[in-house]
Amino acid sequence: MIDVKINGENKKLEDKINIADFLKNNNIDPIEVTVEHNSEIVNQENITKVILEEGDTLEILRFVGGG
Amino acid sequence: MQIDLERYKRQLSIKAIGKHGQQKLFNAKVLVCGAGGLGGPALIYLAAAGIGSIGLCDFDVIEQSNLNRQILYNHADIRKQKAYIAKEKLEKFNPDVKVETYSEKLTEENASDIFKNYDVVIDAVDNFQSRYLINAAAYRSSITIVCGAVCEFEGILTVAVPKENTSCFQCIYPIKPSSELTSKTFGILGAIAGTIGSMQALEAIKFILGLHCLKNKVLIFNGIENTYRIRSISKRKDCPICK
Repeated sequence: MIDVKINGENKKLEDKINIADFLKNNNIDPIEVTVEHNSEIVNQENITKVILEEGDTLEILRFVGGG
Repeated sequence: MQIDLERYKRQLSIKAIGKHGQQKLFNAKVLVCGAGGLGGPALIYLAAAGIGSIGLCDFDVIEQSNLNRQILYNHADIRKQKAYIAKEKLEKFNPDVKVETYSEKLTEENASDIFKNYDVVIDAVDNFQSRYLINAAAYRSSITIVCGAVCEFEGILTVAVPKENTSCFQCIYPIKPSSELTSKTFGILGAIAGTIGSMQALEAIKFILGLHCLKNKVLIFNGIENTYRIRSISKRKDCPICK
């Protein structure tokens, strides 16, 4: 198990995981969101390459609705 | 114009406002793009605070399905033009305020012409295409942007100040989503839109008064957990808008 912080909350994940798979497992469509990994915005093309590891933080930002 | 001391009595007594701040608010020009769930409460609180010139840009008509959140309108307004009804209500609400309406669709061609008349633009639209357009046009016109969005029980808010070279919306969303996403795709609760719309008015008011605002930061409101998170947003070196 690894400890990570997702949207400000401490969470335990079974293992390291790339961001694309993490979003998929949580039913989040990557085109709806932008993700910030350890304070860096991750480009869409890199979400399969960036791995969530012990102590990492992930913020999922969703600037969608308004009207 | 002479400030109505009675009307603004309860905010004139706020140390950071006073008569000087109230005059700044009266002299300010704020444009609200989208007079819906976010724009409605933003417009009402801007007018209530005594912002002297308010522009509102919306080409839509009022639909029944708007009424769970768009508190400027009621059942009798269905099928009427939002810009027209909003102007009428705001001017009745505070006759000190001059309201200008733009009921055409915001485009690359007309945005700069409209934006050049304002100090601040509130991005209260419901789609990505318009958010990118507003961000770029506001940077070209060097006016401050207060960007807000809501989705189900979550809201999000940020401020970009071109004159201070801050990060912008496109630093957060560098690549335009390939498919079109709008609020029609997601659920919106009126009270969440009301919270974020009110905060957009607050950020605009604070910026005009020269107080702290959410520059280079994003605020995320979780309406289920009753929590706010604030994250710093770095300016992207390769951002085509705010570089």
